[in-house]
Amino acid sequence: MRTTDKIVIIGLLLGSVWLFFSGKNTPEKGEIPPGKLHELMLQKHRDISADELTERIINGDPLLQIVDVRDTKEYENYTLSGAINIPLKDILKKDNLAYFDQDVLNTVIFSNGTSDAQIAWNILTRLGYKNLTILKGGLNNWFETIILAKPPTGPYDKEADELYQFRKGARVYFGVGGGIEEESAPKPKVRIPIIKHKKKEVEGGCS
Amino acid sequence: MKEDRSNKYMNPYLAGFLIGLMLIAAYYFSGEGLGGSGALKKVAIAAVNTVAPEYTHEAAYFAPSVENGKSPLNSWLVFEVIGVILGALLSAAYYGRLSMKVGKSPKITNRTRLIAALAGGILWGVGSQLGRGCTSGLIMSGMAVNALSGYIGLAAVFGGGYLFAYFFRKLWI
Amino acid sequence: MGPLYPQGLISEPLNLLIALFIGIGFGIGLEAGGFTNTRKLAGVFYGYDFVVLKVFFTAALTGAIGLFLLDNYGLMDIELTFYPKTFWIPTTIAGIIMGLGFIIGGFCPGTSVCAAFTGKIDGIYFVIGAFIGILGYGFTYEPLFEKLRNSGGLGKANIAAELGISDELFIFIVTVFAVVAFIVANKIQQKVNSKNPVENIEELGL
Repeated sequence: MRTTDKIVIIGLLLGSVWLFFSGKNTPEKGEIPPGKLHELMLQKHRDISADELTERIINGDPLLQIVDVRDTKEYENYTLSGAINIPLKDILKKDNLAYFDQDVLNTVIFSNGTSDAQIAWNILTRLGYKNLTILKGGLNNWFETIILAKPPTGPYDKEADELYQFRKGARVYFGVGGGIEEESAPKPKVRIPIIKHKKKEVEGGCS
Repeated sequence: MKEDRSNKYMNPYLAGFLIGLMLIAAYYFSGEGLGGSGALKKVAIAAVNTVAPEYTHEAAYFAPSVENGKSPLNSWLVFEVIGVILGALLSAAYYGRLSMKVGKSPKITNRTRLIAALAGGILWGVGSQLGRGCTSGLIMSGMAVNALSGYIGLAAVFGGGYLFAYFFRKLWI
Repeated sequence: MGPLYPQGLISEPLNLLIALFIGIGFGIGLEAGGFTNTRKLAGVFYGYDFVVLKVFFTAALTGAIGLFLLDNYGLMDIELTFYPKTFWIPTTIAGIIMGLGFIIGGFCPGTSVCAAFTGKIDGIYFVIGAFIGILGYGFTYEPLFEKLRNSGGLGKANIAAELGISDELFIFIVTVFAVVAFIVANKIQQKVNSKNPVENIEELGL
């Protein structure tokens, strides 16, 4: 064998060994490196307030996708109108991930008084899914803010009053007239069509 | 006297390494694999499109390449193959191999060789379209990204070659 | 981060210019490696010249090692490139057709173009044949081939994933296999050419 032959062949072998070891130390494909995750976590648009979410629900925002990550039992008991249920423990199932594998809908994740929504957000963000927000304060806070809204106290404040009127209106929208605290009937589950994430197709080889 | 290099070739591993680097560049810059038959297809479609544009816009095989109004020739693979031709000319000029001749085993006539080449070309024309690519586009570019199709192509093309080699040995040895 | 063009990081004219330069490198590799000489190509099937095996595997493995290294170090995302979809039925049938075409015609499309433009008359005939084949296929596509071409679809299948091992391990195994094949091929070639050499063996420049 000639010298050049040996150099190239040994180069190939060494290259394949290098490749083999380089695979171990890198994060799994598609995952977001820690620095980027930190940046995403600290960005302002990560949370959505109860009022803002309510407004979007009432306006029938077609891009809104609400995901309830609590247990199915809790979900059937009471949930936000239009919310779909994906319990946190099942979030990594393929069928469930399909809801997040798109970049059109804005997804609002919520849970109740636990960090479940936060955990779901972290997992989904690390998987590279986009447009994810968390309902600030969870369902409890939403219920208190909107359904149990109290008239503003103290001297008249136009802004506070408008907010109160909005909340009162929303209360009607959600089917609770005059501040009734009992839980309403299960909401119909709305299925939002899934738009699959499409990557730019590259014209292929010889075909 | 000028040295005769016409029977000299580059070290095969070095030539393979060079082609491999081009393959990496093709994927890195353009997201494409190297191809051969794809450009022939585009040229064939462009020719038919010039003669019968109504037909090409209707027929399922031709339509995807002509429907956006751009010339089918305005494609990555066509430019790549123009490059291949220039590269081959450069190399052949360097080695002193630029002359008209028929490449064949001395045991067969030119006529036999040319008929066989034509027949082989026809088979490749059909095969490359049915199989979504030829040796470079299907097999080599596929193998470079661990695509299953590349390895199926490798097994089928070389398996087929060895299967039929015995029957056509008179053409070569 | 690559691939540059599919992500809109370089313009279309630049992309086509790059295609031209990549093609030049590819063409030099093919011609200088001896792929315009049809006898050298056919040698792989008869044991007198294994240049095809050597060039081909070295190129594919250099590409695979380089691309997956780039992917592992985050310099490019292989999933954004042209990743061929697998249709195992038409690929197998077409592969056997192409194998037969290889034995009879002594070229494949890429090498035939190089041969035709550097003055090999058999290369010119092969290219004409390829055009006839492509047009024949194109004109009879709907009644004859459309259904077959789209059968056996497996999507963007990755062979390492199908075997349940990592891409890196698979490439390492193929590399070891290729090196063994190179050594065995050299032995066979020496044996064939010392016992029963083909005529005008000097043309092969072994």
